Amino acid sequence: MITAVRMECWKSRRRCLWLVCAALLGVELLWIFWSFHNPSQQEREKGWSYLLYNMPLLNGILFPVIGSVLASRIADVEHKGNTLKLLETIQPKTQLLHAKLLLGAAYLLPIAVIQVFMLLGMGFFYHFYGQPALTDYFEYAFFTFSSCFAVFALQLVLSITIKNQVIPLCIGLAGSFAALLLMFLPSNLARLLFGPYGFFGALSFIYMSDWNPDTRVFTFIRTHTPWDNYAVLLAWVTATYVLGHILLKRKEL
Amino acid sequence: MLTLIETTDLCKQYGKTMRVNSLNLRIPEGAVYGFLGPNGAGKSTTLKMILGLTHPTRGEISIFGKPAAESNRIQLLKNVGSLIEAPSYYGHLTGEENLRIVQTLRNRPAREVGEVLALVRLGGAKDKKVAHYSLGMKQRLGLAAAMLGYPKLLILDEPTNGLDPAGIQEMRELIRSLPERYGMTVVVSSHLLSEIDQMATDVGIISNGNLVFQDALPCLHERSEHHIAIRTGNNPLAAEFLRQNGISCDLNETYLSLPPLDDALVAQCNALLCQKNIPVLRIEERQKSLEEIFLDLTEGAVSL
Repeated sequence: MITAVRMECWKSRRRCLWLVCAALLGVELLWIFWSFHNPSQQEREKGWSYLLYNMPLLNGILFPVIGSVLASRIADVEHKGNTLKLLETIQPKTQLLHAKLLLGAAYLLPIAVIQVFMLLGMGFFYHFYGQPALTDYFEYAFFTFSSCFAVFALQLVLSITIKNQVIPLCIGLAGSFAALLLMFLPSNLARLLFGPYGFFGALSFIYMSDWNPDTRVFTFIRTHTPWDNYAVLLAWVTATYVLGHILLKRKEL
Repeated sequence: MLTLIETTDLCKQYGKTMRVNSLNLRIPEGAVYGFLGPNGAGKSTTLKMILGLTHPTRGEISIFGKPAAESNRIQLLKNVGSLIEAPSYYGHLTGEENLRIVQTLRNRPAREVGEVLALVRLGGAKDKKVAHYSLGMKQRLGLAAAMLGYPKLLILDEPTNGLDPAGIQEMRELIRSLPERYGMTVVVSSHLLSEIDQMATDVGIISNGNLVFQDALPCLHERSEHHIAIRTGNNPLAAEFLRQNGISCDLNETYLSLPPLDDALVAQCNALLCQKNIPVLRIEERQKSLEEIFLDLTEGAVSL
């Protein structure tokens, strides 16, 4: 397995996968700069929670597209050079899927970690009041990675099994819209629709409350950690994996 | 002699069409087995089933004397190299980097990459990205990847596709030398009869999914129906006269067909016909070309 993952890293040479991840982080950094340019008193007071409230929305809009591009660039090398018929005589079919999933996870984990450092850095740069609740940020990183990995896994299964990459890319784009729309639904409904795309919102644990349209004052509340939704996400990931397993086993070249 | 590949009643159906029908292949060890057939006959489909890239509808496959199943497929294919249809490559990697992947996954020593590159004469282009290779270079790279590990069995599907005449000759000489130099058994599929005739020791001919011939190459040549053809000014009379004199012959449209005769008998026939005042216009020695034999076999399968 280690050899297979090493070979996936070898194959990703000159594919600039890091650029895809950097694009996501770059856009989010710009958004934070723009959102908190000249922060108000309220924004400074509630900044730490404000970030954790808004970032899942941003991830939900951006990541399905980024995830589909990342998955496509990892899987498409096999379609372009017709290499599946060579690889399937050298390694088990599912070992290829496992290795590509691990490669993707290796790119997604730094995204979640760097995001947290970005948010903390921005908070200190804009002099948010008080101290960040580090456990909240660690949970945010964990759930962000999990949601991103779930979307990536589905996109990878689609990209490996469908030769024409336009189809998975369109599904990724649709997933972005779905993620945005699903945030307006209750989380226990959102988690059941459109696969893993709805979990960016469903795994968020910071909610806005007491919004006063006249004074424009609001409160953020921290709810319980959504382990129930996380369990459903794990079920989606398992289903995706089983689907990928079955499709690859049945695929004829 | 061990049979390296054996198929029993191998079938593949796509929709309502049986693309491969009850195929019983026997590929002996040490052979260069030419797998011949017209386009669309089922050659590539058969080779893909042997390699497990396509699932058979029915039938058994045995490789190195062991039944091939999904559970032991990769283990059996450790000693099999293959090049199926177009060559496989990663265009954004160099030739050497491509082979490193195969070498690492096959757990072979790194020096073998340089060795196979030298064998296929790609040493000078190893640091060039494969996307910039010509078709012939990609084909040679595919062959190099198949030969990594010096497998006991090499399966090549139309390996001379895209090669110029010099490349074809080079590939042919290389394939012919593999059993002797490396102890490899080679299965080469092609629709080019002349190529197979020059390199194969055994031949299997498939037409419309059916195996119509399988034997050593000399046995295929024996079907050439060597005969003597005589054209006269009065063929029916000449045929009757020759038969009266104990010489068997068949009357065709424009000539008489006699079995292979030695020179003395041919001269005797000529003299007899002249005595009878039947003008002899042509005496020819004829045999079917390999192409005619092939067409007879494959068109016969169509008519069935």
